[in-house]
Amino acid sequence: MMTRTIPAVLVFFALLAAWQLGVFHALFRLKAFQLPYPLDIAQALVDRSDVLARDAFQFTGLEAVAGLVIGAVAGFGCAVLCASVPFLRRGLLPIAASLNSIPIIAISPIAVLWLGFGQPSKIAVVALMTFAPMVVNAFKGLYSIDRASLELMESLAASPLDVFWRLRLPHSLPYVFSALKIGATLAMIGALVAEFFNAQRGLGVTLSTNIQVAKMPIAWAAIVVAAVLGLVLYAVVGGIERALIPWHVSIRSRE
Amino acid sequence: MNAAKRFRLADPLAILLVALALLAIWQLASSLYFDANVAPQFRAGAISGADPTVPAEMRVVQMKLPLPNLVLSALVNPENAAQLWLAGLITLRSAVIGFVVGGVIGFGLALLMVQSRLLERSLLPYAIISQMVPVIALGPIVYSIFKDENVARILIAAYVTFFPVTVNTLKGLRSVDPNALALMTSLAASRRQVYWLLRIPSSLPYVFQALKIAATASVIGAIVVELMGAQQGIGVTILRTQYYGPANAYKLWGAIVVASLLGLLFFRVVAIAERIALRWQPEFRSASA
Repeated sequence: MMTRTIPAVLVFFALLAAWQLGVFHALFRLKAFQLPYPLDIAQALVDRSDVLARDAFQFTGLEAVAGLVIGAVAGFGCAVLCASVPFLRRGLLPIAASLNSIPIIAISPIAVLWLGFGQPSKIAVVALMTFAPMVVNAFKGLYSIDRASLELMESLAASPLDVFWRLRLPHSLPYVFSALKIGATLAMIGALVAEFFNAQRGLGVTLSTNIQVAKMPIAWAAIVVAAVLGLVLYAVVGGIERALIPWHVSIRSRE
Repeated sequence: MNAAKRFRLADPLAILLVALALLAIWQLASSLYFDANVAPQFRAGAISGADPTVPAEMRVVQMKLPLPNLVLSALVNPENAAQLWLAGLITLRSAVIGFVVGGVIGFGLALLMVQSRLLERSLLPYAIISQMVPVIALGPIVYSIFKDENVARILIAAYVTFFPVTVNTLKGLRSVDPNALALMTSLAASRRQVYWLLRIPSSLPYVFQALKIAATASVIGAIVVELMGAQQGIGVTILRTQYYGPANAYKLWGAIVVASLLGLLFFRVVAIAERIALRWQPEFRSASA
């Protein structure tokens, strides 16, 4: 495992060194104020660690997590509805799925009108963005169950509620987690971009205001923090998945 | 196969009925909200949004939840329509160009990676990690470097397309049927033939899956770049009409509808291309039969 990652790590440090030595600046005719050097970004990360940590945990990260949870719960509820009412499956599900291909961030200004400049409007945007992937995936999990298992349960006079708890719900979990992983990335994008539009604090605000005053190292530091936060959120969802569904093939096959 | 068929039960009539029901709920909610929050003598002024004698909190009502029929009329009336659709086309053009550039580069890179383990091990981890981090945050940076909104939009759209296409193409090129490969080898097929006749066709379902994700992402990427001070495009229209206040309520909502339609349209076009390119796939065969 370790030897497999060596080339990637080497490439990382080679690129970083080339960047620091000004190779990209020479290549693309960039000035230091356009593309700051890695050491300057590292310096900004250290100097502004208090602001960046506050932005990451109290603002952008909190918005992403809260919105992801709300969007996931609502999406799962919608999937249950679609799986149990045939008419909604045929009519509502395609509409909910098509939300996937809509740039939801465009409604950020409306969310601000309703919920103000603070965090609730960002949480609402994130919830809307993470809703559709959950509907589509959870529905797939709830609906595409093994016919034989269903027939067995029905022949044993299991109630629909039993079927839901013991068959549909466990079967949907791997699908739910893949939606949550997609959602984790979307949630970070949603929170950041909603903050670009209109906000008081957060990584998106730190990023856009520092670009406007040409303090590029700080803007890049905000990007680094956002990337790390995105990875952490993704890893947390993956960790919960491994803890909750250790029986699933996708996890067993890794070992 | 039967499961796949049941799965595609998208019933146009049911979709239309649900869509109409949602529209009716919107219309009803909007008119109730309007009546509850706007005093009768101010109603005409609150609809137009331009009358300064109407109290601000009543003028903003239509901006928060407009009557859908008035939004629709903003989309077709000659005063706004040309501007809205033109702005949408400008955004879509950049998104499509970036999508094509990113798709071609991503596909090419995956073809290289499948030849070289070293290249794959050096670059693939970044392609995978980049799907877990918000790459769109680079939009403002790219714009501040290039100062040209078209270049910035195209670059970001290409960037968000590139990664999923690379990862999925590689997965597809690797996931050939071993029996088919054995057969071709035993018939002394050349390397080129194996690629053209087997590997590339069997990668296409994976490629299209990535392209469908990227179609939406490239539109979002283009819009995000526009928020950072571009001059043209649907993101700019949304930002400006928002600043100009309630007199532009329907135009703002019209712009949001146009942005949504861009995403839907682009996705739909890619999905149709998929259907045509992958006629031989079981899920499309059963649907057309």
